[in-house]
Amino acid sequence: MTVRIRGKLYDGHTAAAGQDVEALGSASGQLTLVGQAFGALDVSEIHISERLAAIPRTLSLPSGHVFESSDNDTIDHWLQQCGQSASWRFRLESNWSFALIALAIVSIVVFASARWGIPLASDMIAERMPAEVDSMIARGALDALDEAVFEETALSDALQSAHQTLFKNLEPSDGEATFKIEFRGGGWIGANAFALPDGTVVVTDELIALSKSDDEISSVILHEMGHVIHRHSLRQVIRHSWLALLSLLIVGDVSSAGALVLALPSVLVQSAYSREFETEADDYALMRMQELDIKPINFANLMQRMERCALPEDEELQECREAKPNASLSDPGKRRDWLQYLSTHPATLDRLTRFKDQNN
Amino acid sequence: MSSNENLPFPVWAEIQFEGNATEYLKIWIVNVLLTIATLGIYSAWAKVRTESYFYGNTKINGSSFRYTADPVKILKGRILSIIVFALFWVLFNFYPDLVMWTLGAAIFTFPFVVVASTSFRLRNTVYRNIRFHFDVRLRDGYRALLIPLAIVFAFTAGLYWAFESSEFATQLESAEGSELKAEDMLSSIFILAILPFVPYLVYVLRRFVIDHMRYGSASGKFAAHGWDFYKIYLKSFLLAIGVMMSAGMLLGIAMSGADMGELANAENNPEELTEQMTGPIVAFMIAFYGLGFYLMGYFNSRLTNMTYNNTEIGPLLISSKLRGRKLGTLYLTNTIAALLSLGLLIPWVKIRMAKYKASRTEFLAKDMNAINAIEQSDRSAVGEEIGDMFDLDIGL
Repeated sequence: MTVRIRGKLYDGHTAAAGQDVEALGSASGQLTLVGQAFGALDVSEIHISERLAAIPRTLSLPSGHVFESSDNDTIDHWLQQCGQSASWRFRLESNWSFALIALAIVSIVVFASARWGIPLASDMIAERMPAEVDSMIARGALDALDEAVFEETALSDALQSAHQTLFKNLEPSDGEATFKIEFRGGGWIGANAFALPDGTVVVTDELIALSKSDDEISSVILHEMGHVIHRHSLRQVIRHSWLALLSLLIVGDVSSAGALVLALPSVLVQSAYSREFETEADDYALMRMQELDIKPINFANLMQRMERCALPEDEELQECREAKPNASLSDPGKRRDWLQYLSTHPATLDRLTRFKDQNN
Repeated sequence: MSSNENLPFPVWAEIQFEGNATEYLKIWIVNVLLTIATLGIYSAWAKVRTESYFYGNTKINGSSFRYTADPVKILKGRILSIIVFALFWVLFNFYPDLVMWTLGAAIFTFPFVVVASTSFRLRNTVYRNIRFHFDVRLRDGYRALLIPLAIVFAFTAGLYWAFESSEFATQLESAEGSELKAEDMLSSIFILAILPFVPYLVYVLRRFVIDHMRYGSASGKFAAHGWDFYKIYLKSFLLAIGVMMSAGMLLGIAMSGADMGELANAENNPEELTEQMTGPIVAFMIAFYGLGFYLMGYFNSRLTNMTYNNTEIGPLLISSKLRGRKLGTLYLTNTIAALLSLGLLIPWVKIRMAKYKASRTEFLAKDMNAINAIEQSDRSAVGEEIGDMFDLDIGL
């Protein structure tokens, strides 16, 4: 049976509007353009573009002419007669049931990758990375922090060496990692401790002032050592890279609003990873505290005091005021308060409960 | 035969965009599924499907555009660009000592990326069976783009050197008595120094692209001047300062409102205090982002309008009348929709944007018959994919 396909013929020589032409397709695979001098063309000589939604199909003729037609169903019908199957892509793309199934699969895969796939793959990669990579990540990090945040330490030499000795005794005996303690004025960050991947642990003067005993400060240092032992910086870098890649795969071709659309889910997943790392570091601290006979409540106490003193109004509290090693820091600048508020590592109640419950 | 031919005056023809969100949603989800299932390999085919859908649904005077790229070439380009991108990432992050060399290499790569990606995109754009193309050789790209870039680079390097050897730097270093290195200052100096040149560089880039763009035998011509770009950047910059000040003021108002309340009573209860502060923070974020979208709308609409309205392709004229406020509203509502739907409304967002842009753009063809086909050679997709990855927006 002969089918009629209506369309426009473009000669490929000028950009003039196309000529309205009718083509007749025969069941034996011959196409004839009515009123044109091409004669009967065989379907094998014509390049027919794959069907996509309702956009016009192009039938490229050997002469360089293009016959363009929106009669998609008719063309498919003719092709079927010639023994050619319809596009599998078009069938998937125009099927609502498949779209819903695809949506369900994509949702499950994305959730599973973020929840299990990325952490597993990243940690496997991290395990195979030599220790030099950790130092590479750490390189320049302290310099940058010194420039942006930290001030020189105001601790006396005696106090510094006393703490160095204290912290030396916390190092694991099996030599799994080596640590280096640095003292700094906390600037607007205030009382806190940081672990760099090369084993450098930075302790701020404010944290030392805030702690009421050697056991308290030791517990926080052990937590930071946990971050180093478990290579959290490296694992975080790798996980975030995977996450970025996964997001790119999904919405790769969204341009302008893309970055913002991705921002929220990425931040949520990243903070979930970060909570996981905190828990791991807590586990390590708990284990070592039992080993060293330090009561877990010490960690909870110091963390809670850090939380309280982070908020500007509480600087009036006796314990927070005592924590100020020098006068210049007690200036409650707005900037400092806000950054404290937005800080990403709150000591959540859940976390502290673990340390409190173990206290007996 | 041509509808324009018989009319006494040439008429402006609106662009019609005939895509619809539900149709595209189904294409999109198939693309995402197959891309994930093939670990990214299908992304090249997905790109061709997507581009073809948008091109094919864009019509002027009853004829639609056609995207003819070969997915295999796109895939090869993607693999190469990932390698190059990773190389630069490693160099920038792990070899800070080589930063000047890395930067130089990146600048030297740039003209190649522009030429290759623009050629690829134009060569695969067809309208009425006549191809667009980019009529340049690689060395033209280097001649046109490398000299302005090199001047900016030299200026920055000079400034950096002057700073390094100045008394100020020496004082700063001795005052800190620490490891403050001049290299640490490089990035901030570079950004500050390059800022005044940005409008000029964008101008040079657009002029280069449009002047060498061809549709069949018709040549592109860009009539705008550098000053036109500076005006838009300057106005947007002033507006941005205004936006930041208003957002800050809103925050201040919200804060003082909270202060009056029960903040004082919350002193001994951090959790309660946290709740008190949430209101002002949220208000600040909404104001900041909300106004930011409108700022982006203003900037993008002006830049696009100015570029299109100064572009001629032989007998073809383009008129663009995007409105900043409308575009800002679109950015804002699109982002909210995409966020709240966890990405499911992304297809709707894209269709909506394409519809608006098409509705504000018109073409005037003085004589389509005068445009003839000419032959061109093939080029690889490598450049276009590098351009994609570096998020190079050359505004075509």
